[in-house]
Amino acid sequence: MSQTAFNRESVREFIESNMDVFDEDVELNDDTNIFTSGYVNSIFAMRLLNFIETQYDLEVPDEDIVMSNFSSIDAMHALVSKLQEA
Amino acid sequence: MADSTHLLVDVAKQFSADVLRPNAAKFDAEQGVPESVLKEMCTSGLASAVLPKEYGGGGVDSLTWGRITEEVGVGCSNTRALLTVHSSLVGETIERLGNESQKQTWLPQLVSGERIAAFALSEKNAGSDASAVSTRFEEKDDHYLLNGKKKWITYAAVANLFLVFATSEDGSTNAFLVERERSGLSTSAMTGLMASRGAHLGEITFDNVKVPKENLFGRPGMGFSFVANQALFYGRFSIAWAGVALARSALEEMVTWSRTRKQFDKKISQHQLIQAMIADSVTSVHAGRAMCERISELKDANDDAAVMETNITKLFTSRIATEVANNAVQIFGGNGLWQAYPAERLYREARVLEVIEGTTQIQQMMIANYGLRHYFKAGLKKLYPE
Repeated sequence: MSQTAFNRESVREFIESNMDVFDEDVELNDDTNIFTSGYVNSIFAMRLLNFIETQYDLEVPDEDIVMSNFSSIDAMHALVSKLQEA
Repeated sequence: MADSTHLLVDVAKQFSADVLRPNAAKFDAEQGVPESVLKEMCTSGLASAVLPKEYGGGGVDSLTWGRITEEVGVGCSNTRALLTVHSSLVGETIERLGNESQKQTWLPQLVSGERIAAFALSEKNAGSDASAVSTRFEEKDDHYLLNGKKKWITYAAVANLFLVFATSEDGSTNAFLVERERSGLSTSAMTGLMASRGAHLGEITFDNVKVPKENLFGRPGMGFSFVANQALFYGRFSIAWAGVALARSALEEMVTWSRTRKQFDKKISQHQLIQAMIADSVTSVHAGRAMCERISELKDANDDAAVMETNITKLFTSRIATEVANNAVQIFGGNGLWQAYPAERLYREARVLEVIEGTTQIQQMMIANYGLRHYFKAGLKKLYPE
């Protein structure tokens, strides 16, 4: 079955459309920690989990439901790649 | 949108009409939904309707679950609270985030009613700021040790499984599934409440309670960010429907009373100012239900919009429950202030909905944040005069 390739821009857009900060100059890089930067709060982690599972038709196992796997676009890329390879 | 035609909605309707509505005042006055009713809620399949079939549940869709919550809530808010905590806050969360062993262990027990579950997050100093919980966990070699006190826990006084949130010295939050029979765990009922008097609210004390490692729920440190937030999403969905239920119940009472009571030689329903209150109440109930149907659709589709739309719907329906119940009190007049009639109880129960599962003000903060982003149109700035 074909797998959906990780799309950094769609993840970036999802995060940007839910950020808690309204400064138009905010820069969200692939390695920006979205939680420690204050761009989103921890409540958003649950939404990222659902977003990743829905977008990539994955079930994130219990042991991978940790903040570090959702803290940046790079981290989510690594998570999706790992689960798609499994 | 088509209404749910699931058999369990009819079961809920019947049970609500035959057992819950005629006894709701009694449950309130006697400070507790009786065990026999709780048992019937489980054996009938109502309390487990939303849980997966593979664990013995009904596996119903979100609209059906909402309609069941509504029908039960129309009859008795205190009984509906069982669906909110046992089934939604705990049951759905175990199904969503539990590991396979936890699902296999706990879900069948929740389905059968062998276990009644409660959601133990709130404390004396941790309400809206849920991250301020001071119940402590310490990790030992083969177990965790819990110490602290929970407060305002719905169904705590009768529950025998608790989804508990505790923090470590370094501020990390874990969630645990803790059985009542664990040594050092005790509960006491809360009394003197304005409402939820029948929902077995209580305090839970943890005095060196040993919890096995396998009862850790979710990964270490993820108790608040994933477990509590996911559970509160299910809880808000339930309360959104509970608001419609309460408003509908109050509407049915006010309409029936207005067509019964005579003043100035005519039924009060013929007075236009009474009709205005009825019209506003009907509009509110219909709008609230339409919003609930929409969030049910989004929830089933795993659409991310379900989260914010559920916040919006919870805010709206908890408010209309208060408004419609307030109209009911007004239309009942003096009898609206008397316990012998249902309006005063409905008004008290409605008021609770604006406080639990995120206060009105917490919803407003989240919704405002969404609105400030979603409805900002940079292009409009150009159209404003200098």
